[in-house]
Amino acid sequence: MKENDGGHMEDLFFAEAVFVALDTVDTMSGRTGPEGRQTKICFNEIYRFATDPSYPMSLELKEALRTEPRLRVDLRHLLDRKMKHRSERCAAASTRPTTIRRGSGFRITLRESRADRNQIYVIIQFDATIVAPPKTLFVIDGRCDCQKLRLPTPSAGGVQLLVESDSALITALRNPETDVFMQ
Amino acid sequence: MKKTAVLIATTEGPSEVQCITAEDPDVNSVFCLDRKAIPLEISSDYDAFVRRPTGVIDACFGHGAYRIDVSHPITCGLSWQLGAFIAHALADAGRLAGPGQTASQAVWASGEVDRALRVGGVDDIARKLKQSQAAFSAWSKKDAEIVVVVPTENVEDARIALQETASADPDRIRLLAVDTVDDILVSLHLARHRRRGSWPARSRPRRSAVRSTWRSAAVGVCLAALTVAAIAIWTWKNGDLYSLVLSAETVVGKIIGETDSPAVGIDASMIETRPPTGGTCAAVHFGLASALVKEHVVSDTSNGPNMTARGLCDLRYRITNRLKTRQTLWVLATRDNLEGGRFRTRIFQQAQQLPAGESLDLDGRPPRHLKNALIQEFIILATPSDNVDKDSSVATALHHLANVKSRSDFARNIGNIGKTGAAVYRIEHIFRP
Repeated sequence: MKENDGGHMEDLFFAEAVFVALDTVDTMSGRTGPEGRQTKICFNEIYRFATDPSYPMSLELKEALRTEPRLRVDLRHLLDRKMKHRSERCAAASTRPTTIRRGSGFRITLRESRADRNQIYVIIQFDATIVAPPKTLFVIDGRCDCQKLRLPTPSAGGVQLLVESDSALITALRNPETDVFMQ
Repeated sequence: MKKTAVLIATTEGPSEVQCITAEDPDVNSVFCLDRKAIPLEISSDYDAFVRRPTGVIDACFGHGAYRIDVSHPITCGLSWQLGAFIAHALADAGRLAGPGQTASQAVWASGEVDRALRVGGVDDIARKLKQSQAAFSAWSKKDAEIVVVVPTENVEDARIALQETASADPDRIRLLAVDTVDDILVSLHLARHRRRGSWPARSRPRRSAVRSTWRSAAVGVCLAALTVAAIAIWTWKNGDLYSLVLSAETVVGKIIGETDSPAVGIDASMIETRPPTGGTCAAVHFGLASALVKEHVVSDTSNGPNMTARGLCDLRYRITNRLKTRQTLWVLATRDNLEGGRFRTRIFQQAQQLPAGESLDLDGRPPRHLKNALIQEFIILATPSDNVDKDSSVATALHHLANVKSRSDFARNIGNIGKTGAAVYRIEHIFRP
């Protein structure tokens, strides 16, 4: 079993190295827009975005995800493969905004602050079985409109955020059509 | 009503408490900056300060999740605890000044508060005071009294710092050294204004009139007779012999104590706090609604052994020493489900001294989220305070009892307590969801 795991890891490292090399080639030979701005987003950037908690969503990446279906597929594929925790899809009949999201190893609850109804507590509780708590939260819809958030250090088995109710994160979490990933 | 502002001292200048809000119980308590969605880093410490079993705010104010908004960042340390506690007490009394409200008084505080509500010393008092001079001047110009509250061990540093840096009118600044939070509550007249039953007085005996022994005994005997008669009639109609035996034991036990023990020298009453119709406990705790507070003599059958936990904001048992001498008290609590499958014990008080005529309040609230019926019993042991040997044997017997694992074993062993010479008083309630 260990040998298989080791082989799998080697494959992954090799794949990653190939991606980086291809990305470098892409960058060197890549097209640039009229303003000199790079318009092509390489897989390496998608990969880093999906796996590095500190790597932010750039405007270029956001635009590329909006316009390039192939990149959306790549990102979705990466999140599906790399994320340890993901939400269960809400029932198909449920189209109303939701306040609870459940997933493998976590539960997210949205609670309005009584001090200010325009502020929402995002309460993420991790299952006791989780040894390494996730550090990054992704909320992604069908068009790969993606919200990424670096999570603070958990306390008492969970994380609590306070967010404005009109923020993109709350809109995405309330939408039962979105998927939640954590890593 | 006289409003009071609270300034939490920091080394970068004071941070004023803007408001305190009771949040949903599943939310962790937070400190937020200026009403924005910006939790401060001390929030996790504040949550521990609020939430049972570590926290004191829930125990004192009856709610386990709050949000405090402050005007300036507070980055680290625990010296905000005293200011936060004072702010909670003022909010509970409806006296915390919010933004835009005129305050006639500003309390500047720095200190740590432990579980026994003692106030511990802190660092950098002189620097904190120096950084607060501009705020003191501003409050002074508003004709407000400024109360500087510091732990006793920091009072000399504070006095020197105030003398060296005073920029406000010195007559307007009052320096107050405190050992416990009670000292500041009394100084702010909060003790007299606080709602009965909304405060744990585990370490604070209250003075009350000594009732004459013969009168209490006569009332007790009459009530016992009436109770037993009422139960007998009820049981005769319902045919439940087990209930008759159980209820009779409970009621008689409450009034005359265990068979082998001496006469009980204490009175007990139950203080029950509920919200008004349509109100909530959170509204009651924050003074937005008037609580319905009822005090019952525990042996009074009108309150009965059954009680609905829903809507119960607070429940205290007030134990009063009605002897003319000091007594030593031990309190053990037990909880169990009706089937006897979840028996557990907890020692509430050990060798607590209770002077003649004074009272001690015990927090008798059931768990906030009760799913199944719960039997809760408080066993109070009392001895005259002049017998150290007796105290030792009571303590041993109590610890032995606290280690019992089942209700049946407990029932078998409780008789041994009476043999130690301690008077035994038992209060039992069944809480239903």
